[in-house]
Amino acid sequence: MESLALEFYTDKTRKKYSINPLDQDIRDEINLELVNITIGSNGVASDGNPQVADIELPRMNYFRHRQTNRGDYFLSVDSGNWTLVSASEYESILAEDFSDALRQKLEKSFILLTENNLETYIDKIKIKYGFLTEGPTLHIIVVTSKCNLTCVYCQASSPTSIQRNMEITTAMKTVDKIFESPSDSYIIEFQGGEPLMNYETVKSIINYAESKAEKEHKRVEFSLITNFTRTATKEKLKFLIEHNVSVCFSLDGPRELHESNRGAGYQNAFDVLLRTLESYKTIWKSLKEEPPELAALVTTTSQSLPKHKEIIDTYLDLGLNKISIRPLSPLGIASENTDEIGYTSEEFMVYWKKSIEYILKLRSQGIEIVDFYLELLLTKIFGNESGFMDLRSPCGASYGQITYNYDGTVASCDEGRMIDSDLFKIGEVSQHPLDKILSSEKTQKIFEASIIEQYYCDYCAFKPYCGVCPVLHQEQSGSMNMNVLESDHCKIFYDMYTYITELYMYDPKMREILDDILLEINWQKI
Amino acid sequence: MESRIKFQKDAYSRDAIMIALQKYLDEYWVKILSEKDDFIIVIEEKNELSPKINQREFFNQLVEAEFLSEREKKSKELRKIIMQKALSPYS
Repeated sequence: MESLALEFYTDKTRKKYSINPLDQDIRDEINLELVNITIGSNGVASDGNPQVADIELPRMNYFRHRQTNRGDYFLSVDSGNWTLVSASEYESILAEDFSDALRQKLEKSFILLTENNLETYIDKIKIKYGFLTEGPTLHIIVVTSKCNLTCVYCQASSPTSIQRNMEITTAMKTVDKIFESPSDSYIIEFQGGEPLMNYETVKSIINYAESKAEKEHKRVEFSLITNFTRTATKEKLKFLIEHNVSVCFSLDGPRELHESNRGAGYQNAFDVLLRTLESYKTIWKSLKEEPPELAALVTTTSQSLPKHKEIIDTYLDLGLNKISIRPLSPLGIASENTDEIGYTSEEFMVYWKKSIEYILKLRSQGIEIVDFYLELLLTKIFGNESGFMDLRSPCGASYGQITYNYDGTVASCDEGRMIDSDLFKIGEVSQHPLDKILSSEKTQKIFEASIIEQYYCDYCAFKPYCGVCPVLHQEQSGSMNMNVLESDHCKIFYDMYTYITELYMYDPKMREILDDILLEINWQKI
Repeated sequence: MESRIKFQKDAYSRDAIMIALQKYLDEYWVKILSEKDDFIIVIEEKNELSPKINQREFFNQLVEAEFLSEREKKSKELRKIIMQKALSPYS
């Protein structure tokens, strides 16, 4: 299989973080051909290879196709632009013999490259892969592995996990490490365990990072993932709101479902959540004029599957108009409990589609509610979105996000610290400079495993909007590189993209609603 | 149950065979055997739920895979140049 991968520099100054070519042995093993990007006077490779000026135009771009359920063809190119053609038009395309109308259609969607659109297409690719030059922007700090709950689906801890807090000295070194990244702005996300069980460290990190950002003229934002239980005291909530920390909490649906997922030993979890939510809103109103911004995550267990309506209604009842319906990640405790809480990818998709149908029905009645993945996939198909690190190539591991564990170890990503393996542990806060961590062979191996051009994906029409997760591959198959067609990740996202694109293309009423969602999130159609 | 599909080695490229077979790896155990002039693909269902192998469908997929592989090879240089230009820091 032919493959295309990239060698690039994550620092705009090109002084740091050059990703050196892998050892030839490894390259041969995974069949990659690295493209060397070297400095040329006009920015074009100076290694004697053909240049842009050498491209004979017009010519067909590399496109991928998928036949829809109605027999038409969905065609997409690397930039994410796409078009829909009939079966007869598709035959003309293969024969490269088409009418003026079809020619225009293909030129507009960059399937046919001409003198009129080549530069625009290159710009679109540049925007799409802009994240490659930014350096890590999302820095996840696991301030504690302790938690007051024992949720049945927890992916962050396992029954053998050690319960420990991050020490202040490690926390300060972690902030220094974050500021070694060449990016101009950072997001620091607090995770656990339950991060508010190590509130003093959270507070110290925020104060130190804010003062460092001011000195170094950088921008820093914070977010915190919490279970919103008794650990979220008024004092802590006030501090978080004052420092503009985005708060995201777990809400799995109606009382019974939410509480059954929380594990034994924690009573009235739903009532406690309601009280914390109320406190949060009250404190917010006393400090800010704009309405409170709150995000919640629903984790789907087998018990959730028949309750799609009740789950969405619970969100609406609590004034939350965004839901994030996601499948279980088979990591940590969740993987131990698969028999009780797990389901197949097909079962999840039935549930997800029913949920989306219900959401779209509510929206047609003027009720504002949206699903995170629906919104995300729409922005990917129509807006060239590439910020979401789980669905891009290469994925966010190390070069988009880094996770700093409570014990000072550095992992490639959030999932990487959850797996019971050292494969994704890429350094130590107290020992390794960030550039060494990012350029290590171990980090490169993870990076390479997440480039989807080397997989079957390079033939998939949804490839420009997708990505793979080396951690999930490792967990599922024992190798970072696996046949994607065997992964649940592929089955779920292929089905999601199929569902959304066909809904958009063939159901005018639904298209109107989906257009409304796109307008709300202010993405321009490409 | 095991199915054996035999075809001439020079009928399809090795790339195309590998592309076509990837779709089978989830549901079947697959082996590629080589004789003097032929490849023999041995496909065995992993469990009772695996759909039965349709040899005509398999050959259709080989043709499709050959086409995908050709299209990819044909545009490889073009994609490389475009990527180089797009990702160059001074463009």
